Amino acid sequence: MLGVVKAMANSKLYKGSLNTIILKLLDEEGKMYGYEITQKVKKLTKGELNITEGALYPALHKLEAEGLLDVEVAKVDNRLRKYYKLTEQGVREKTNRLAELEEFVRNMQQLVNPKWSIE
Amino acid sequence: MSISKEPKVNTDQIEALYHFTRKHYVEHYDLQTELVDHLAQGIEQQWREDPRLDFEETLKREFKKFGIFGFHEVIEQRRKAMAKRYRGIIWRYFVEWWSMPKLMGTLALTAAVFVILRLLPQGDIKFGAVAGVFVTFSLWMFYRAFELKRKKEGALRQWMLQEMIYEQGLAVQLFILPMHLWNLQWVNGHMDDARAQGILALFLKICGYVIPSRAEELLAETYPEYVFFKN
Repeated sequence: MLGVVKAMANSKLYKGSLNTIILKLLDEEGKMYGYEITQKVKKLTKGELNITEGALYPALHKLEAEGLLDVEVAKVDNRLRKYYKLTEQGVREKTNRLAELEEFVRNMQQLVNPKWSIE
Repeated sequence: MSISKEPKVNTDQIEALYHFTRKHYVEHYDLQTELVDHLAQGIEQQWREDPRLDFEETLKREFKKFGIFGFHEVIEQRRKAMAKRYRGIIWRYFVEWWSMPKLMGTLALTAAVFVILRLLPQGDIKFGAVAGVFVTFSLWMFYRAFELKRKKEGALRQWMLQEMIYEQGLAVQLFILPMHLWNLQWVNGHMDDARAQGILALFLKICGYVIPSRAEELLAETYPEYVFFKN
């Protein structure tokens, strides 16, 4: 099942970045719930990127089991809402994964669009 | 600022959503709750765009977003994540066991049993005493196994970690029972590889006794919502 779907593009390119996207969003927003994450990604990418529900929750639960996320539950309206936030370990991991992603993007740029120079 | 009356999913519909998740094989309350909130928000979002839409129709559309396998992937991954957490709990208690006070206590008890067995003269009295201890212990284990079964079945809401704790606990108790009876041979014979047996016994004790007896505490630690519905 594809985690992140990008219209008219190869979504496999995005699949591996789902956890990093989640960690980054939680770092910026403090705490978020599942539905909010899907909507936020949609809004930030102007509908270009769409995190599927069937992939979001497995990713959240995995990150929680790894100790990167902590959970909080609050009663909202007539139901319970589960919020996720980064643990200290999660904050450290977010920094590492972002650095990795940035390096990946840099390397890909080098490969796809190398700046040749003759000296 | 104007207060707009936004359409909300009502309490009966929330119940219907719980029922819907159960019908789609989500058996545990922790996961049901998260999915119910997600579906409810999706439905409310659809109502904001078109308030005339009917509940069943909007629910169908939201469920479709989970893909052709429905909640299957979410359930599977949740189970894997929870199993990881359970292993983490076993490891935590295992490490705790090697802390000084507990380790000293275990060693002292082992030494005491060793001395008593050495002091008792070989024969019927020694055999009877050890057999008595094993049989009593086995009966107690038997009682514990049924107690765990009763707790698991009697719970109003099923929590995934709770199920793991009790199922593992029960399996361990039933596994230990024949071991105790087999151990009776030990009286007249000798114990092979005592260290391996000791480590195994420690894991069995942690899964079969320590963790189930602290289930409430562990559930409250794992599920913040557990305090709302302690059962």
